[in-house]
Amino acid sequence: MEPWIQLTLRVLGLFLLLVLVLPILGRKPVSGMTFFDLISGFVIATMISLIAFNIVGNLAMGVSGLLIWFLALGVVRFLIQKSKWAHDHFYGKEIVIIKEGKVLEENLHSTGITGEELLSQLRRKSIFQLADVEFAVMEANGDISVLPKHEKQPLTPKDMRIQVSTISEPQIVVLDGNILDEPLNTLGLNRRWLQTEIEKMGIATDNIFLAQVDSMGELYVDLFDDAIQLPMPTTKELLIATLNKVEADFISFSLETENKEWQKKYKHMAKEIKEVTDKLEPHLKT
Amino acid sequence: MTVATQVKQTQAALMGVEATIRTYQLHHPNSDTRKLMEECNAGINAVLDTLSIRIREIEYEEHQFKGL
Repeated sequence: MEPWIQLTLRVLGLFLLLVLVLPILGRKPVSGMTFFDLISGFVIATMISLIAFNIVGNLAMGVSGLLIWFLALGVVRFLIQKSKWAHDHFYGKEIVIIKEGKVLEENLHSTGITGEELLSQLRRKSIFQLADVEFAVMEANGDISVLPKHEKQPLTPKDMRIQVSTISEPQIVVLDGNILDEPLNTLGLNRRWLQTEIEKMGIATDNIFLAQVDSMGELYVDLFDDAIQLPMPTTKELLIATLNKVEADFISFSLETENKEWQKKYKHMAKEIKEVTDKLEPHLKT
Repeated sequence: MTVATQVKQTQAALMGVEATIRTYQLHHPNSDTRKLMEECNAGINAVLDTLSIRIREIEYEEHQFKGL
């Protein structure tokens, strides 16, 4: 066989091997890799390169070596799932470095980073004052996870005692110009509903690049033609505005009418409408 | 006496609101929110009933505003 045919076959063969065996390496993102993962990766890379360029000589030996390495990795993965000891050994335990606002010096020392490094890592997380930290832990891959003190955490609606509605994930109903039926059905809608909504907005179906529907059934559309300006969906704001107007109308009716009984009734109706508006408002704020 | 057209406009607006809330109620994934919207609509319907009584009274007293 010609040498270059040999080379092509070898390289493609190794490529295919890698693709097939890769799943055992798991799904960790690059930032979550430990030193072990890194070295392991280099070993695999070197082995493959050497085999590809026939530096190893005997192809069978080369590929066997690679497969043994993969096998070992597979066994380790399995062990890590089953045994806590194995997990701690390969991935290391997290080490607590700050607890209740105080730095645990011995633990910090055991991680191998200095106080200066610690402060630097905190700064990278936008924390410039050690006093702002309640709890910090160093993960197995060297990243520091920080829990700021409660008063330094961003405000949440819960803190403000503001009631908010639960929102579900929005569904993508049109992608790259194609209508997706499954998400529509998940929301309990169909193509005809989509047609009607699009006609209401006055655009052509084939002009739509992307469309999303939120949990309240509100449609947001992105067109291929970027020159067209679409009005932002305002049904929810309109609803609140209309309710406010109705309440105001009732108040003015109560002032205009001479009938004493209806004066009272109009005022009562205005109050009812106000109650309804207040109940509804948090859910229309999405 | 309040002008009948104004009252009828308010009635129409309120009916529109009720319909929109009903649409949202059908679509919302959260059952508590759906219940809340049902309650809101019940309140709105009560107001609409009272309002229609008043409209009938006005129409009775001022025949020219009858209709629609």
